[in-house]
Amino acid sequence: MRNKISFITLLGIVLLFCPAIQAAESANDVLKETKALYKKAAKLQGAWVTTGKLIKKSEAALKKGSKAKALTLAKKARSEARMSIAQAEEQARKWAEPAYIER
Amino acid sequence: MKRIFIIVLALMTSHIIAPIVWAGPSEDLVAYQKYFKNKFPDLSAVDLSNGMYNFNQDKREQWEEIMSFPPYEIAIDNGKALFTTPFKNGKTYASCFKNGGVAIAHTYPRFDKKHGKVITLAAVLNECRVKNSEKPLQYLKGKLAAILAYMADTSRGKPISVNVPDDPAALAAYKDGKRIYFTRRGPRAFACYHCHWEAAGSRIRGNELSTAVGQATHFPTYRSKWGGMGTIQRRYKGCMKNIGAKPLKQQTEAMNNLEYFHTFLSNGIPMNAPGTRF
Amino acid sequence: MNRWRVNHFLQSLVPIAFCSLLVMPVLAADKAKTPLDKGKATATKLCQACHEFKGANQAGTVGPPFVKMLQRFPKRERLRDIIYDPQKAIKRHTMMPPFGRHGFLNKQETEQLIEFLYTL
Repeated sequence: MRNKISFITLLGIVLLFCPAIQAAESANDVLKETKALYKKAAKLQGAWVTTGKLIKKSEAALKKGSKAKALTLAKKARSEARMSIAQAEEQARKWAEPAYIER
Repeated sequence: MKRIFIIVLALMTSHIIAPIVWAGPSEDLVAYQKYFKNKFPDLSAVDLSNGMYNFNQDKREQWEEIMSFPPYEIAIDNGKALFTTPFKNGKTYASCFKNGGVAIAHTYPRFDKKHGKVITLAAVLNECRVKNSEKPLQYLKGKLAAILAYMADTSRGKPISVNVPDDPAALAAYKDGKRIYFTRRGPRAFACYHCHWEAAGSRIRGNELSTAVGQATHFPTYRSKWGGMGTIQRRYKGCMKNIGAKPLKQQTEAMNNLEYFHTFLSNGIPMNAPGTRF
Repeated sequence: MNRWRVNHFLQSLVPIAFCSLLVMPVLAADKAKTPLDKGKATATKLCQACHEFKGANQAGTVGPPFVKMLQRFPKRERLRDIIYDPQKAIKRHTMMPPFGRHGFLNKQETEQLIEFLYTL
């Protein structure tokens, strides 16, 4: 009994850190989050073209069953979506005509 | 010591107060057009409307050759035919415009006080169609661009005259367009002014950059890349996409406010539309 | 060591080995490029749009040309800062893109680019 428990525990720990098994659920989670961020960026008039393309590529990879690739792409898209929102929010506060304009 | 303190205080105050007390569109226009006059003292107002062809002799010569048989002339003819053909109910586009739609294109976009927003000539054309039980035309290109080409041609030589009335909503729309113009976008963090102000006349990749002042005068335009006519908002979308920014949607408040501000920059410069760019 | 411990140990190796194979990155043999080649490729892809340099075939003139780079930027850190975020390192209104901050170049790619810039 103890052997079985130890084995199952060890298997569980290994599987927890096994990206290939994680990937299916995670890519979906990351994609869901990223799409919401992308929508927010678009609402702020600050979305990036590449973010949309990465989302589509990730979804395509997921459909093909390339879970790890889908996850990598989804994470890249999420990172871009966050940067685009940060830029849009900063610009909303700090946009200005150039300093070299003389008045 | 007291004198120094007063001078420092005055300098600090002017730096703080001056930006807060915004002068207004007329003062903006003077400052902005002065910038380009100083940057390009040898270019006249008419020259500015020729954009990148001021900065590359080879391309200018090619463009001048093309202009001996301008590719936009077909669009003008088609546009005139469309403009003058009655709707199913017997009315024409002319019934929706002052002066029958002739020599008015240089005064758009306008601020529509009744609806509290900027209205483009393209939108007025479609409103006219809907009012006369016709389906609206697709924006950006095609038949609508052809009609705009005809109408612009009737304004050729007239100074761009975009009016920003002393009205809070109009000023807000102008400021919104100004904000969009000066906002960084896309992964390269370019704002419109980066390419078309300080970098105007310089080259990015293979292309010399046109000056902001003068750009709006030649729209709608025939572009070789498009293989046809396109409106100014079609060009805005293309430009935004080029810099990696998801383009704003045509005929939205944001896009119309941008057109309002950007066209205003060319106030006083003769309309030279439709134009050709290759 | 008794038999059940050996069996237990061997059994636990199976999923570890399986996952290791899955997580192990495929080490593609990057045959073509030295770090300097990669730096030049980056400069061609990202920099020549605005900056002229020896070997560029469609360079822009928006930014200053890449000449005497080692002389002009003796401190590597300065170039790193400019490439990462020129809005901080040069001026707030600069039109130079934030290649590092916006994810165009990672640290290794930046170093490779700098290596190439120092040959100009």
